[in-house]
Amino acid sequence: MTNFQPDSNEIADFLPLSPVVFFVLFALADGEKHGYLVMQQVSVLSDGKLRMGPATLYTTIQRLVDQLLVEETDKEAGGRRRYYRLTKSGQALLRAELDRQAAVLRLARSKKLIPLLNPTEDAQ
Amino acid sequence: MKFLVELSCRAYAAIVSLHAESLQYRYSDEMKLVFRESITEASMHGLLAMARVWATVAGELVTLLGPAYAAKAGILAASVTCSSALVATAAMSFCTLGPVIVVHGYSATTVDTAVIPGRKDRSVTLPDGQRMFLSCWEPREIHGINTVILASGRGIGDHTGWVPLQTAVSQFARVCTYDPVGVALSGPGTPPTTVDELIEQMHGLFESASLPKPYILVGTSAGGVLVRRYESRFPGDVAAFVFADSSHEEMEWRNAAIAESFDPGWNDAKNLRNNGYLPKGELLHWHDDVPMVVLERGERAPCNAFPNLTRQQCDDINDAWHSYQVDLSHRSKYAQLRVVQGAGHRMVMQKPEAVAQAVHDVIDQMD
Repeated sequence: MTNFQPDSNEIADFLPLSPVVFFVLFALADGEKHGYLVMQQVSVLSDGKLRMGPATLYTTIQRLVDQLLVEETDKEAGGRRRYYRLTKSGQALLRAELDRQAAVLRLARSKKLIPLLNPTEDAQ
Repeated sequence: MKFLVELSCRAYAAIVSLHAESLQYRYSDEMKLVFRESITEASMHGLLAMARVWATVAGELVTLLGPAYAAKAGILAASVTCSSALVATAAMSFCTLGPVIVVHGYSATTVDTAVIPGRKDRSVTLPDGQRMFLSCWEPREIHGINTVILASGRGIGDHTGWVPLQTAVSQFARVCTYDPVGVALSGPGTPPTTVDELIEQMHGLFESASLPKPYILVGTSAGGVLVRRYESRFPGDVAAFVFADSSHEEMEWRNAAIAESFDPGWNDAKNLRNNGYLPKGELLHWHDDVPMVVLERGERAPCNAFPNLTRQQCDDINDAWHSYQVDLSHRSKYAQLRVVQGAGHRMVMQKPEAVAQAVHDVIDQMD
């Protein structure tokens, strides 16, 4: 595992993430996966709204690997299949994006632009 | 159905060869494998499902390759129109026509670095037996004997993050970059965990490859700390600096004084030592009277990127960042501070021409 320390400025420049990058990072958040599994997970997480082909998937993985946000694992997968996982920088970036989205959601709720998720909070 | 799956896989293998060379080189086998798995699973659900897989492939083919091929043919307007049409189509289908099929990725790069005449990529064996990837580019005629080093290992990804700048600088100077041990093209090995370990690797590499001295060191973000520390360790080797929106050794504790949540690791001694930052209250004493350009981002960091900070804290952090750049510009009596309009923290990618100009200017000053 590399130990490149992303500083907050660097992370800020990546935000907001594109839907493809966000869902690929999200798909890897709960552990390492090979390409096909990432692709399936993205489809599930996005409720079928994002369907990506192999070229989009690997162009995204290539960029994320080059930016040290994702890395290949040593896991023996047999044949030509490789596994990928988030680096520390990748985890920090995903966390920053989720924080950003949460802040947007809070703002929208405070402006009453969307209904509160939990109706009991409304009553309080 | 099995015949159709095999036919599809053969057709897809031909399509893979149309994609960018770097993508093919690293991932063509995996792309074919993923396609085979997708089409095999779809075949169990019928022809319509297989058609959907093909529609996705066709969509990404146009999206990824369309603009690049159009631009290559010199049809810039067509390229822009093509991209805009795709964006509009995708946006409309997202809102009104059901699930998105076309997914936007990145188009293939149009910088063909393989044709740079003086490009030499090699794997260098260090004195301790480990290997490092070194990429040096130079123009046909070189003035002066120095070497510009684009410092990787802190503040940027692997060596490919420097490609736009390296392309620009190689028009007038010998310019090298590298991957630390265990990173990207340097192959197997344990990557350095501390900035000092990285500095020893850099020095071992430059000596083993006999790079002509003195060096002009270019560092971006935390790479600024790296190159200053390199000079402290090997003072005779460095003749000039360019800092591209550099971090500052005092910034962890100074930022924490504004907002502790900005970097939760600000007071972690090991974290600070590993990355070359100073502990609470300690001041940077580094000074080197050599040609130096300090480049500062023209665009302030957007506050919505820091949801945990108040507006005031965000403004203060931005002001502090400016003060770090001003401070660095007093670290040499020859230093200049330049604000690069239109650039954020990733200035090297956003405005490589401004950074290249700074490199050109410090070389001029050395003469």
